[in-house]
Amino acid sequence: MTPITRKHLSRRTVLRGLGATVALPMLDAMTPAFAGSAAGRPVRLAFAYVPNGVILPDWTPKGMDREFELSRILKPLQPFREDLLVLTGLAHHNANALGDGAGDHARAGACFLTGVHPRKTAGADIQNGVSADQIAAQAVGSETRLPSLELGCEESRTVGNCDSGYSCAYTNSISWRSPTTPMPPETNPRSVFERLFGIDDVPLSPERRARRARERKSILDIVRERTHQLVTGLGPADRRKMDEYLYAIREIERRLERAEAEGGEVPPGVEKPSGIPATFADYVKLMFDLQVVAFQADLTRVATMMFGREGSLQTYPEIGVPDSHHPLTHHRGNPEFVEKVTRINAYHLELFAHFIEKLKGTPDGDGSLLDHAMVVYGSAISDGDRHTHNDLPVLLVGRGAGGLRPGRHLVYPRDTPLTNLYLTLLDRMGVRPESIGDSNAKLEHLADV
Amino acid sequence: MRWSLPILFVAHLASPARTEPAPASPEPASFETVVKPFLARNCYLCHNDRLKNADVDLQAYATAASIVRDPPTWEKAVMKMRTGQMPPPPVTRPSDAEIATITGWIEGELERADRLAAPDPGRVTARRLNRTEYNNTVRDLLGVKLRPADEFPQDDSGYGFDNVADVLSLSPVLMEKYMAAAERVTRAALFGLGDVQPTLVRVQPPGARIDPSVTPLFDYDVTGLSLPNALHVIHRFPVDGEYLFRVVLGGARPAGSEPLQVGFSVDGGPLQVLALDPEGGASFFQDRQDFSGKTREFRAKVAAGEHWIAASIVRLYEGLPVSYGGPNPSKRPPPAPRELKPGEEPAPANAARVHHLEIVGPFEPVQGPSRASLEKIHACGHLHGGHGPGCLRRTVTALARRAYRRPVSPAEIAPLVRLAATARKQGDSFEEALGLAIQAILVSPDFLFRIEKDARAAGAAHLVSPHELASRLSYFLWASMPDEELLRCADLRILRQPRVLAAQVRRMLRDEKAGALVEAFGGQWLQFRALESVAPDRERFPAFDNSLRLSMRRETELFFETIVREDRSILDLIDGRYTFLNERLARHYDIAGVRGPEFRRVDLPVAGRRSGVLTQGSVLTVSSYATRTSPVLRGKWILENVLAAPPPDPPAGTPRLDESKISASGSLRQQMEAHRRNATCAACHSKMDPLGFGLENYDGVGAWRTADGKFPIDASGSLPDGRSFHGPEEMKAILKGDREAFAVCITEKMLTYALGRGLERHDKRTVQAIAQRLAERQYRFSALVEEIVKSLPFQMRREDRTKS
Repeated sequence: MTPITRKHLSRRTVLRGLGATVALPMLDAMTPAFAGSAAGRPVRLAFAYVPNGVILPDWTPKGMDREFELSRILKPLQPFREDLLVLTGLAHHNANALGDGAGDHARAGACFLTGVHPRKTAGADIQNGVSADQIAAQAVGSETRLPSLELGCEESRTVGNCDSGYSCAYTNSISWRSPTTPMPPETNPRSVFERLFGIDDVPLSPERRARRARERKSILDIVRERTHQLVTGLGPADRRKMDEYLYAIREIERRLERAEAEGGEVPPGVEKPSGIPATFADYVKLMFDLQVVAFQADLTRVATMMFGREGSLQTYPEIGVPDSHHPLTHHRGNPEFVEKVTRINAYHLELFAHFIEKLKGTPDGDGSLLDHAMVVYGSAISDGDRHTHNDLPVLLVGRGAGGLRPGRHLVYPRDTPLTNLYLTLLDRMGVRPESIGDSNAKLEHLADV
Repeated sequence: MRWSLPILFVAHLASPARTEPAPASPEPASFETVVKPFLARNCYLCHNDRLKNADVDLQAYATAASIVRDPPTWEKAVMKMRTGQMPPPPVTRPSDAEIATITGWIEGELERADRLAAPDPGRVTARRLNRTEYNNTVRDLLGVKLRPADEFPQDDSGYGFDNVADVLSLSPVLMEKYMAAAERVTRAALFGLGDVQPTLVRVQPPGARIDPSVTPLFDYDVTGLSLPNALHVIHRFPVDGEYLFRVVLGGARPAGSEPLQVGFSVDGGPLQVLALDPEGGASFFQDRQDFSGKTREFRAKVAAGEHWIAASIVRLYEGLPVSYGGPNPSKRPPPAPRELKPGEEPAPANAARVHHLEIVGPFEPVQGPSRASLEKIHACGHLHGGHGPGCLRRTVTALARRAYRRPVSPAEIAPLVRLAATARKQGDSFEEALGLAIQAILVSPDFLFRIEKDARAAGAAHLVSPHELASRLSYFLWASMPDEELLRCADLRILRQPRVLAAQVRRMLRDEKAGALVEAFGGQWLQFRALESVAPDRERFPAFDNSLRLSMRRETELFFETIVREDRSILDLIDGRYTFLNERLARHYDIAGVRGPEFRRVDLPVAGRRSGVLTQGSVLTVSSYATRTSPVLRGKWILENVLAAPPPDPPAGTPRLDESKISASGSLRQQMEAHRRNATCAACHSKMDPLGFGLENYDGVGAWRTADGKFPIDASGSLPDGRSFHGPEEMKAILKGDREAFAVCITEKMLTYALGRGLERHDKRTVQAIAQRLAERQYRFSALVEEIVKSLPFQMRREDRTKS
């Protein structure tokens, strides 16, 4: 029998979360014998961020709890209705102005995973909080090659003022390692691949890869032999140059040996991307595919993905929206503009659905990756026209290794902190900080039957 | 066969080039009677074996001969004495006449020793191919245009060039890149690029500032290419193919304007124009059309390599609402007038601009290996398979010979053939197996390094082998490997024959590949490569955008290239009365009559303000600071690159110029008078500053000006030798008068580049001989190259003295 690891929930934990008055069902996760899917498979945590808010009437599902109907924007997730939770009523109080004036986009981006009210500055004295994904990464990251992965589909802006006196640092990243250290996302899929798998150029089957390694060694042997011959006829200065060369050869041989010992093969069917794909849809899907691969090969267990930066000006001509995203969201009620924004929101969900589909279709232990994942999709702005930060659009997809009961639309009391959700999710991973940002309790009902 | 240096050679080369009157060679007795007492009085106090100030013990030099054995220390002593730094107070400063006698004696002795020393060709350490050389060599060896070295770490520079052997190191990171590059290049050569998916690259060069204005212009560049609203970039395309260019806009235009016209061109070719109509689209504003994030896409077929991409707003001032009073006003209904809020400006007429570019591609790239690659690789003649039993060995041998730049022995080939044969047995195709051998060749030290063999006797000088000579020649003129003709000349051992050598040099200079000499030598000597990283202050120089930056570079490149291709006199570099301009640059220089983005040759008027490189934007910009000109930097540039008299570093502890005082209390010139007041500073600055002041009419980005703020420009100066000038033209006349010094200067630079090592004392006479010959041959560029190629250090090499 598998020893109970910290990833199993104890009844006491559940009690703490749900309150002693609620009846306590025997959850799968509590008993190793039942935790078929949980045994040995780690929980993965992923966040996907969309900027500039959504058209709420087209987002919020009708009905509640198990009786709910996916809205127009959420329709692309229909096949995964039983794998998701739509969470309504969550808020980021600290993304509001609170006396700081304009800058809702910067605050939203900075606050989404931190729950902290960022310091208003365009200079070097930025101050935010630690983001939920990084809290998790700091706790479990040492078990994988990469503690976390930060991806994005829009270039970072490097300098100056990105929203009404807020530094670009606040809009470039949603992930923060410390209050002063943002983790800017990687936007080139080729670089992501290289971080995960090294610099091989072509996809290789395991046998081919082994042969390739042997061939490389043979080449290095040949040139090393040759250099030893060469050196005998050289003067001291030239010999020193050859020493540099020999040292470099030896270093590579050592690295090759280490790489062989560690494994870290590329799963079959995965090719190295050559760069950023030509179309936005391919780009987003590729970045999601890389996350799936990273989870599958257990190279990391924490990932964040930004569809765009807050205030994004991206245009979407491929769905009939050649207008720039941000100005569109300031529609002032113009029905044509509202329609276009809804189209953008739905498009984002369509691309996100690709991610969920991939997760569900990838085996992981006794189940699929989706069974062992907790994926949050959302924004820290709800209404882009009025820059509101309550009633945020939030989805939670996946089964969290038995820690979640999806397939419902949960409506929370107004202004419940979104950070409470993070506290709960981290708890499922066995990570228990005192609080995250403005969290005040764990979020209830996520695991109800 | 190597020969030790025959006496004949010594006689030929020992005669000094310049018949400067050799200082009267004092008898050794003079050391005892005059010099030594001087040193005892003034120097031994601190520089003796007990005190050894600055680690210098001058008392240890007991004889004239000992002084001559340590030139660096005594050259430094001369410099310190001349500049008045030594002897310092409280020692009474000796009279100028005394100092002159002593320094004259020391220099005289050192020069005499140089003249009498055996000619020394010096030695170059094993020289790693630098990035440019690697790219070019791979192109010529395998016909692959990929340029993998662009992703290698930066090469370190020495003596101003990035091909100096001692400075080029090889780290494990670089070795890994070599391995990866070898695989990529081999695969591309044998199989083509494979299924290349189009990728997206975002390009956003720094833009110029646009001052928003509501006043339209009637006479302006309607193509928009020379306006600050445009975007210009030189982009390297890895592969032939069709590319999509997404032009992303920014800025705004008054509401009610006609659709915006967006223009696009490649390499100054015809402009494609597309309209963009934002009317009715979402915007933050009510009185203007907002272009942020809006795009227009253009397609173009582009060949692999660097191309100048430009996107602009065409007919910027047309189509504006009638109320703006511009040309061809809009026929659309004007928006309802509205009250401007306090602090709000009306919609500008000229603010629509190109924000950045996304380059997507290649679409439909050429598939499969190129014919050029196949021909270069398959020496057996079977370009498309059907190889016989001898093909592998034959092909590998031929490739190794070309890659190692010399004949190869069967013993060298054997391991490569074995490697390929083993792969064959394991089921690999002929090409895949051959690919392994090629990869091994590409990471072999014989390929990556230019290694020259030595003779047995330590310290002896000998001729480099014919193949080593061929490599030196090709990397000098082409930054690439020898071609077949050059290799054959080496094989037949005829390369060193004067007629053959001269003919090869001429052929190579005419070849397209000599462009490498322009780019690598010219780019580093004239420093137009540095233009990439200058960042003129946007407040003070708002017009400096990428278009200007690229144009400046192109001007100097084309100018230098003309001197090379047309074999002109190198003196054109000082005051050649022609240059290459496009409209953007011509406007910057206030030269009328140049329209359009293409570069064309322009003859400059004799009474004009520009001639030669010193008044080209590139040189003027790289020798300025971000916020202002620097007469010192420019003076230093001239001393280093024209007069072969580089100034020494300033003494430690020299305070920086207080910039806040400039233009407040006095002009820059007045501030710099401080240099002249202090005797120590004056020693060098009396040479540097006047030269820099001669160029003060050109501001920090090379534009002409007659005043700097409120101070009129005073571009006069006088040099320490008494000559004076008013203005840049007269200064250039003086420099041209010093043509021997310029000849020495360019010889030194080019010899350094050609040899790949810094020059030493023993090279002085080579340099002087070459400069002399150059004068006799009308200073022709090809003459300079030929003389360098014929010279002692280029033809020969000295065995490592410190044989361990």
